[in-house]
Amino acid sequence: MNWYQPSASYKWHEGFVAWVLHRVTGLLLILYLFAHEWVISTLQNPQNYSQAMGVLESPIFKLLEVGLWLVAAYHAVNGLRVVLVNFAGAAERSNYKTNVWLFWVIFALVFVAGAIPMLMGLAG
Amino acid sequence: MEYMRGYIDRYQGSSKSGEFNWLMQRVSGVALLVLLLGHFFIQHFIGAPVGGAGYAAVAARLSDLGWKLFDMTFVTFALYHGINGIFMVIEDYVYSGWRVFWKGFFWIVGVLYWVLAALTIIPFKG
Repeated sequence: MNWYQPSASYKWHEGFVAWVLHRVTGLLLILYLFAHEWVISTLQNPQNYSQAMGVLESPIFKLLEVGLWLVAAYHAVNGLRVVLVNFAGAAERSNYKTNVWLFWVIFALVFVAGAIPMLMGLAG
Repeated sequence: MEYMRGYIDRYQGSSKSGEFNWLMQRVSGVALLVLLLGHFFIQHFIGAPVGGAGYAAVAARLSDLGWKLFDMTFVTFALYHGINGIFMVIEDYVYSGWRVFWKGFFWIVGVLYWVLAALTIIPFKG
């Protein structure tokens, strides 16, 4: 692997991982928003609407919807952690690691709370 | 495009430091957290239409003035936050005069998507 020599190397620190995921999920969400708005703008009558819903209610789109919830829940809960880091001292040496783990627990709970009804809809 | 470097600073205007947009990214983010939870839990669980999301049920909700205000607020904050996030990515990776081009491009995309949202939401009658 000596053909690739990065000018800087990154430590896969918890905060760095959280930041990379925050940026990636953010870009996915704005792309989703563009697609979502475009689709909705074309559904102004019952025919187009039921045609589109036929596609959107297929199992593959239901699974993608759970993926969307995963991405949105991550970005939302981690975004709140960023605000607490910026304004409430949530990244001090003494509390930093606890707060990162607390974030993962809260994110998992929020995601599961939303995902269970979605997956039940998929099964039912 | 390197010769355009001077324009980058010039066109950043009063937001040169990025401080205002940085703060507004936090403010709009927290607003979106509240709006998203409202949107998600009210529309999909508490207020989910009986018998699925048929056209009539969805159209009735979208015709409601309260929901129009909610949706316009939601989409305005979401577009601002998303486009502002793209600006931050551009500022991190694009150093040449292309920065002016890409920021201008996403300004236009953002304005057009806001107009599309307004044209979709506001006149909707069902």
